[in-house]
Amino acid sequence: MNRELDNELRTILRSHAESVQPTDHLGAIRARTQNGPAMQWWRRPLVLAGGAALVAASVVVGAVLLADPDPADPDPPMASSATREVTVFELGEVGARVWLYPVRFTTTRTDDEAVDAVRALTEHEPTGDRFSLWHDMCAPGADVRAVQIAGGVVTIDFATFAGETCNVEPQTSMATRQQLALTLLPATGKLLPVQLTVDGSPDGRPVSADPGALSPVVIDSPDNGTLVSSPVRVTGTSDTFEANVQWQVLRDGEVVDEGFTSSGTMGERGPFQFTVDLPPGTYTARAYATSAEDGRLVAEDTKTFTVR
Amino acid sequence: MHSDLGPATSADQAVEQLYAEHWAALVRLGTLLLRDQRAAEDVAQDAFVALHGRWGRLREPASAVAYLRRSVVNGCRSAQRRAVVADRHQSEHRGNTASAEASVLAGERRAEVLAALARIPRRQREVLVLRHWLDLSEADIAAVLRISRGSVKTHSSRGLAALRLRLEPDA
Repeated sequence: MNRELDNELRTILRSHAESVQPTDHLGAIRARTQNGPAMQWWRRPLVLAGGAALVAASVVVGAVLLADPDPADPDPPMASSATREVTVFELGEVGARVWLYPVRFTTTRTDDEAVDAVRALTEHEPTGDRFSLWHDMCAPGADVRAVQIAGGVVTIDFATFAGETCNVEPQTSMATRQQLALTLLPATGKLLPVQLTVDGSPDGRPVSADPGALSPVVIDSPDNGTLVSSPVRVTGTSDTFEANVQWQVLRDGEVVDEGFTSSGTMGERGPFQFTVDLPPGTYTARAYATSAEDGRLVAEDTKTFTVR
Repeated sequence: MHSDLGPATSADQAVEQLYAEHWAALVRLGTLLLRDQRAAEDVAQDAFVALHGRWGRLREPASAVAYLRRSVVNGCRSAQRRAVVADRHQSEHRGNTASAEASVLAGERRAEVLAALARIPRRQREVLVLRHWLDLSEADIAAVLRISRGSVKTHSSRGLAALRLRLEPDA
């Protein structure tokens, strides 16, 4: 019986396949593979800042991620035993550079914090101009099974992984590993090189995590979509030239307030904050840094919130 | 012809040569998995672009074909997932068109088998198509799908059983 169906299937698939007359796409493939001006974003260099103060930086990255919610926050999220809030990392482009940004994301809770973190990363769908290689290219089929730390490397095993498409370019594959390494930081306790395996077989080599890939300016609070009271205290961390941070508060695209602040210490990441009085409404806080040489934008983050 | 693809071949040359040899087969593979030739052509095109980017890092140029097949299978999977929601309300219509067309071409049995194939679990369908249409060995199928040879055997026999069940529910 099986043999019969075997043969029948073979005949049917052949005749069906032969009825397909492919059209020519060689021109389109050439256009996409020869270096043209239409460079895709994942081909652009992912910025990896110099190795200065690597250890110090990673400590501060940890502090950013592990910080308690602002005690002044009037609406702390309800803790639930069925869900887990994970800080995942999405990507944002400033100029021609891609930076990593932390975002809070809620996923289902299992007893494995690290697996939950990786799953959250694959589930998180960025909005606006932000993107995630895990969402756009790798997540379909990225079914995380286990996360293990051994020999100073964190190994993430996927049952299946559509990883071929996200390992196309070195920068792309680097960005996916950076997203993973930073997302796993609270679970691993320190930044570790990341090794992917698919069904137990290694997929590429371990990639070292680099805290320098984190955006030089990050707003931590208020979070996107939150309801806050005036005066609004905006807090974040930065690692910018001479520790300068410029800020604006916008309503419907119009600047309603702006100023300068500083993260204190030059040459390392530190906290910054500014406070604004705002009438009820929806606002966007923007913190950014410009180049001392030519004034072009080098880093920025924005958060949109509503004042009650 | 593969013997021409040495480590010194440039990515552009490799793509041109592999395109000449495998484009039609890869589009057909995608069409068998997706039942949509245009979508299959997009997936196959992406596979070649991906290969171009990876060419310098493929340890064995000979593995390029396996890489292309894997990209097509994975690409079809992603395309299917993206299409699931959009398709749900159209699937009945599309199914009817496909089966009507197929019965004109080659009779109802072929349409029945293809429709049944589309409804068995994805992995089983992939194994059956790679085995029965491309005539790949268990080892090659395992390499394309990145699963063990044992899993290939299992999916293959389960796939045939599932297919039979749909074709002859009373047997």
